[in-house]
Amino acid sequence: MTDGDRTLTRRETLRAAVALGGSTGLAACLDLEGQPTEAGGTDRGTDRPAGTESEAELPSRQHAWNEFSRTDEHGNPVPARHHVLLLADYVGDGPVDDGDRTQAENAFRELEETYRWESDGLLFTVGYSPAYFDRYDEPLSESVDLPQPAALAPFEDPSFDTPDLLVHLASDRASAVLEAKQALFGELETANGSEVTETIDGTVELVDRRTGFIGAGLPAEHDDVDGVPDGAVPEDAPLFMGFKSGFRQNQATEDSVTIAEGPFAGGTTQHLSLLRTELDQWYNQDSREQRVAKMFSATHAAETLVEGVGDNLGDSSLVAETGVADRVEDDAFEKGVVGHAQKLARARDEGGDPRLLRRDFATVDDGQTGVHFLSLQEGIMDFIRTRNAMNGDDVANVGGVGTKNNNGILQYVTTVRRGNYLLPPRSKRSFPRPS
Amino acid sequence: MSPRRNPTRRDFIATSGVALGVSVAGCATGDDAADETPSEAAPGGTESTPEGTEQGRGNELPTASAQERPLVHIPAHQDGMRMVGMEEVGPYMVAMSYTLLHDFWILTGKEKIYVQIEDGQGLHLMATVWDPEYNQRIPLGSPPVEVRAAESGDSVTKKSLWPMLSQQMGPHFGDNVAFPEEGEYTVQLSFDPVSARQLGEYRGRFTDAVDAEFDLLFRTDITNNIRERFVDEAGQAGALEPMETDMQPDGRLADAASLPGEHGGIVESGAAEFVVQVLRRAPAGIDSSGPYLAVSARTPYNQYPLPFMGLRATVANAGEEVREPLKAAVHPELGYHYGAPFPAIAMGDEVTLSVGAPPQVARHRGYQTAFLEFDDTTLTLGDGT
Ligand code: HEM
Repeated sequence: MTDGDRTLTRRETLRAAVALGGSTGLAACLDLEGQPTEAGGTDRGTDRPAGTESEAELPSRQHAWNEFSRTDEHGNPVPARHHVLLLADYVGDGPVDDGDRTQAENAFRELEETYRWESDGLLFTVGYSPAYFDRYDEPLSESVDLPQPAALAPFEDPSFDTPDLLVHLASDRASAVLEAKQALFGELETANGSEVTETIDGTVELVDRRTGFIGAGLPAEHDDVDGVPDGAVPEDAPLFMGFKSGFRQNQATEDSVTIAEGPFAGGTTQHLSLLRTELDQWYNQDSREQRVAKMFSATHAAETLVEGVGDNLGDSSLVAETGVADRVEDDAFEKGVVGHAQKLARARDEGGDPRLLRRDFATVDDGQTGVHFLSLQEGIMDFIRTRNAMNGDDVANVGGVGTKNNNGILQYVTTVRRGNYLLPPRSKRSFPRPS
Repeated sequence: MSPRRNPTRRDFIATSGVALGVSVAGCATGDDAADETPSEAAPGGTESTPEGTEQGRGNELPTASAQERPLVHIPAHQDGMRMVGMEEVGPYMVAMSYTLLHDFWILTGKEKIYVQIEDGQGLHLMATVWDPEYNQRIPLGSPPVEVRAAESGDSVTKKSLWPMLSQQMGPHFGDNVAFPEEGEYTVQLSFDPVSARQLGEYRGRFTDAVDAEFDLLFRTDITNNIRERFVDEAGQAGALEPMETDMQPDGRLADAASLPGEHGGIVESGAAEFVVQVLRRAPAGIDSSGPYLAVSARTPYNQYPLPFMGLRATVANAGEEVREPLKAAVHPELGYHYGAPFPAIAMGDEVTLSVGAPPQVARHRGYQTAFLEFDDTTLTLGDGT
């Protein structure tokens, strides 16, 4: 595959193929994945694992991904490298019919039988928006905190996503996320070597398709888009801003984001926003120390706690261990800067644990850099609280910190879309009733 | 300053006899380049280099003259600027202008980074924002800007302008922007609500986000005609005069004598002046009906406000000490200042000012070494200083 006069590397091609989608994209991927990998590459070789035949092997939570993912040397779950988000509307008005419900369940079940439930196979979730539940007369069970999306800062003006459902496909293999989408929509006869017989085609209409990636090397290879200077992203950075994210100690556990009671016990809520990143100043003007101070804290910068992309941090960003979360206001006053992670650590729950399980990933959709910021939390209020901590309006007039200037990474990030979803437990993932 | 021919930047490059790349990158080969300008230039956009590192200094030791230079000093050249337009949006007047590409220093905490000029064509975009009723400049943080090609609508750049301080422009928002080619562009600016306290008549005035848009014609024959004048007094204590225009206030704060309240005195630290006032009643917007301590932190000579600083006051009277952070605020007569209510403050009290974070504004030449290190300073209110 070539892009103008430049020959694309294997990793670039796989990412590009996911963005392209369709049969062309898929063919390109399968072709590449059939070839031996480059040294150190983690887009794995030929044999894709077969699907999960026995339902007993599958978790009852759709969001049970961690134990089915690789872990790094520090025990952090490694997110799947390739992602596709499918936003779709149910074709009918009013309550969903049982026939459609069964058809959808069969299609999701067939996906599981086609791909092994693991990051080397395929992990996926199906979520439903408040707009979806509006079709029913009964309100959504009160045990679920799922408001309509809203602007969450005085300085943002996002559009709102209101599709009925959101399907999130994730895999280390670019081919799997592409092929799974086509299988789901009945565009293929066989997928991963087995026949495609069930599809959701006819019950839903696709309204948007978004793609992304996360993992060492992927952002650096896709810096030829707007929003990031060429060659600026560190070679081994998993995300465009150049640092590793998602340490085990800085994430909510799957258990803690799970809804405990009511008809959706075993489910969780999902927030998806699209953040655009403008990294010209980040890489061309800010120094490394300034980047570390803005992403982590002034202490992290002064004491050089972060090496490279932050692998040395192990399984914790050290925001709790260093006590910086308790020094946000002091740092604003004395140091003139507060870090993103430092501010966010103030939004922890009563037990001192983060409220969000972040599963965000980078994107170059529409030729611009950004983040599909996807997070799981027990209720959307957990997200709102956390986002408020990020806004840092309590320190926006303390010392050297402004509304965005020196206020974590706010200067570089713009929220352009927001949407909220319920991820029911697996047993109710197909067009759930509201209670 | 002696009258002399006003050379353009082109002339300068031609006559100064240095290699083109160096002139463009340094843009200040005359005066203060040696100590502050890193020698390495990298292509592509504006680049920064950590200061004080081997790489940053290009292994050169600071020159003696740089060390002797006053903290606030006259830079080597004075540039013209061009107005793009003025627009009234919400409670603000916004003026968009540009000058030649400039080098400057950005600050995070005390970490100062030199941003050099890169090869290629571009402009230093500047926005100034003020309240047309009282003519006070308003500090808006780091407003996002997007430049688009007028015809295609293609985005040329999207970033946040830095809050900046220059001797001629005073407080403004700016950055260098590269333009791919000559032609017409639109510049869209967004202003977030003001985070500083809004006091007196300003209470609740600057709380909405507003946008402003300007048309900009980028032509090298126009930019080449922007005048640059080389200043004989370069390196001496002082500052270039604020740019005179009939259209916008020059950014100076009112003299101490014209500020409201009782005048407590003026102290100096870090090359900044701190004018101390005591208002008998806290202005509207402060949750107190007692006295209010207002400190107007400003540059020497031009009296520009120094925003985004951590400032604290300790007020002592007969063995009683009260220590409070002063919050940044805007007020029609005080302008941008730092203040807090002190219920028992009175003339004769001792006030000690201490600075945490230095003013987090990017600095243009002549200010790059000033307002960084401050000592605590004490004055007795009303004691004739
Ligand atoms: C461009 C977008 C973003 C980037 C690049 C980013 C990056 C990071 C990094 C590097 C860390 C520290 C490492 C870690 O704890 O995993 C972190 C922590 C965190 N971020 Fe973000 N982040 C972004 C946006 C957001 C948003 C929109 C939210 C939610 C409102 C968020 C919530 C958090 C939380 C909760 C933590 C952990 C805080 C704790 O330790 O308790 N981040 N982020």
